[in-house]
Amino acid sequence: MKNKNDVIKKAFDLYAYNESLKLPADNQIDFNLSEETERKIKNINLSNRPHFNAMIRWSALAASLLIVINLILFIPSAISSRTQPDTSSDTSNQDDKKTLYPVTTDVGEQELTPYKNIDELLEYLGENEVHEPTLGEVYISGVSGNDVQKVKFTVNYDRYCYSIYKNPGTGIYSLITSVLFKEFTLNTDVITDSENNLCGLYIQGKKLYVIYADKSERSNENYYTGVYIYDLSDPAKPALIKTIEQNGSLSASYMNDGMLYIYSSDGVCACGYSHLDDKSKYIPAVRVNGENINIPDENIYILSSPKRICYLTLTVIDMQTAELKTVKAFYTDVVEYYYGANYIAFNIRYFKKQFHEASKLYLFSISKENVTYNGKVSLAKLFGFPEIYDVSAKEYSFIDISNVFKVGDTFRIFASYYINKSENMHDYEKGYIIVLIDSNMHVRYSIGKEEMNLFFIDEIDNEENRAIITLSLRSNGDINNEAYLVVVDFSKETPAIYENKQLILSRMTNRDDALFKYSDNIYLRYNYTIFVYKDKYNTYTGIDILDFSDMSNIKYIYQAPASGITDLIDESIPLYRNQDIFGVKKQNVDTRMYSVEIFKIDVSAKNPFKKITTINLSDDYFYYQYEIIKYADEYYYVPCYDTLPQWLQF
Amino acid sequence: MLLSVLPGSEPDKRKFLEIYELHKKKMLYTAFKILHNQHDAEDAVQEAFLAIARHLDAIDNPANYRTAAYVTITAKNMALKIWHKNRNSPVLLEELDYEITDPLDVESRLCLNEELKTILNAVYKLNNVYRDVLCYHYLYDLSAKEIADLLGRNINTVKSQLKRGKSILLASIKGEQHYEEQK
Repeated sequence: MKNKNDVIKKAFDLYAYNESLKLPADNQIDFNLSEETERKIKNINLSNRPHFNAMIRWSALAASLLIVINLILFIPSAISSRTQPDTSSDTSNQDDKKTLYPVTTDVGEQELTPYKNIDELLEYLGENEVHEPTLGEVYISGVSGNDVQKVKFTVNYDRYCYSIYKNPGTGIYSLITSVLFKEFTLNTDVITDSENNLCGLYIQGKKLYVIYADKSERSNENYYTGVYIYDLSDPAKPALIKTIEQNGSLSASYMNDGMLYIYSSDGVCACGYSHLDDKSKYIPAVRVNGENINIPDENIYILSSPKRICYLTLTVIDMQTAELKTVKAFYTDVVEYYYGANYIAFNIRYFKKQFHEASKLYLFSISKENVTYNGKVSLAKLFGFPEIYDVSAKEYSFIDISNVFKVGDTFRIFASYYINKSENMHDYEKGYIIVLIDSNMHVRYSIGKEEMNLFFIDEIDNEENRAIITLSLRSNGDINNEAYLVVVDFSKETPAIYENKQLILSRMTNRDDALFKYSDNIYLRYNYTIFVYKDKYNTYTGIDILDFSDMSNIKYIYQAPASGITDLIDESIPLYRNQDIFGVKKQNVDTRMYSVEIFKIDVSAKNPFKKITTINLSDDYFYYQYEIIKYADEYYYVPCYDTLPQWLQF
Repeated sequence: MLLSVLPGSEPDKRKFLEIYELHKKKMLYTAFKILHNQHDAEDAVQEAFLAIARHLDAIDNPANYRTAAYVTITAKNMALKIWHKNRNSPVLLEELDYEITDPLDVESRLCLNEELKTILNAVYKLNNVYRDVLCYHYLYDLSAKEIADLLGRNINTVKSQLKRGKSILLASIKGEQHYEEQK
């Protein structure tokens, strides 16, 4: 941008673009101009234009002469041009037919950052840090990680049950130990901790891990995340053996294969930093039992050229020994990141002098032993985008990553895209893209063009050679929203895509309430079944079961009746992947009383959902946190967090 | 060949009809949101096309987003004129069931540099009257006279709206930058 005028022009250009985005598509507008108005508009006299009125008088004479000349000189070409199709006003998409085309290419790169080390970055940012309204955090966007064990609020060791309770009056958090009996609750021990927000539990062998965040008595400007580790040699009285704490607010935690992974993010201002300053202020601090742990430079990754000091800290704890295995720090700017048991991926866009830079995906592998950088890839390159866009309609193109997984050595990336091919806003291509990147950063991908607007890519199953994607689309005509399943077969050189449009999972219409049906969450279970949670104006909920053994022809095994299996549900059904049991909370519309219905699933049965029991609850019973735990072949439904833990055995 | 430069020539006609086919529904939608009356909305669209026809040269590509914004802003202003006329009293746009200050979709989609973000925010903060005349001015290079004709306003009114709008915009940009620096 040369001067302020250019920038203002550009801003109005963006304003125009934004306003045009808000306009509905023609097929979403129900009303039309009357024939009379259409006729009047089409007959508007274009010669009645102010600054041409004078000119027209002169041009009339010239026109007469030129007509004669035209007739003489250009008749042959005029005739021949009539035989050519007129494409000047063709603004529709060139290819209305859906095409899938697999491509292999090498667009992966290795360079992580232009900086040699953290000192160089700090020196640079000391003079050039971008001022932002808040010293940011690293944002989680597409968290996948369905292959990891996520945090719980109640866990059990043998018949001892440990729960987090937040006193609704005082806001004080407690860890409560109780013993599972069939008919009553016995709280044997209460560890009250008023300083910390307890926010999750993990258990491994005889060790209990309690995640906490944001110690309130410390400086308001700093956030901390940590874990209390308890020894359960005497399970009735958990004994605190270690505290591991790191800077930053809690981003995520999970356990996998006996290791606990905790992510936190933080930012500090590097304005005015010089090499004489205390560098430790600008790198993550990790403390074990209050003692600082030094993070070696090789454990700090600088991603590209961040403009601010923001970092994501990862601590890895061996859960058997309660030892801190490693600490890694990722210096980055505003990003989205995706994690799972064996990987973390950062999707980063940085500002450059120019207007817009294509995002790059930085890929890291995580093993029990280490974290290693694989390389980076620009998805824009796959579409022939320039690395940095200049001012043109092309800059409005985008690729939105929905999920990233890593299976074996290969990363799987799922994204939607919208590519403007020219200044013409109707000259675009959109759809979804599935990319595979192996350990050598060799890229293979397939594209599914989609004429309707891609809404989102939902839950994905992570079978060895297959993924199931839900594509939700805003579609044409009466139907505002629908979703269908796509099976991606990874056994081929490039991903093979099987679309299942014969089976529409959801359909919403603004015209006919009877058709209103919306699939919200899809949970994958077993090899050949999917459970679909449906919702109709929050008035019924049902679960479908589908057979997807034939990738190109997914079929219903069981379709939930319109009345569903519950009457009213205010939250998603907690389906448990590894259990045949699940609970559904419901509320009686008349009495306002809540209850939990427990179901067992048998896919082969005519009615796959067998109700085991109904647990009646009070009218103020509405707890978001609860678990179903199993002990000695008995199931226990344990509400906690907002209430003192209790259980209802079934 | 030179025929094409003449007003009312075939290429102009084609361009006009293309604009019409591409944007008529969006314009009607825009007008209808303000007037809630099909008949009045159609009148507004017709008035807007009359104005667009008079300034057809401001449009270079009928299909692009700039044109979509141009024609819908014009339709909106024509609808507001009809609304004022029907009410016989001035009305604030905010009173109408017509949302003009949506969050910036572009921000969520694009990485804007700070300067651009600040200016774009300032554009959205501008009063609708100033924003429209400045938009015509900056984006479509229309003169005050052309804008006055397009919107059916007095030329002196438009001139002062341009001047005042610019100074509000610049003050707002300065204010935002100052605010950013403070932070």
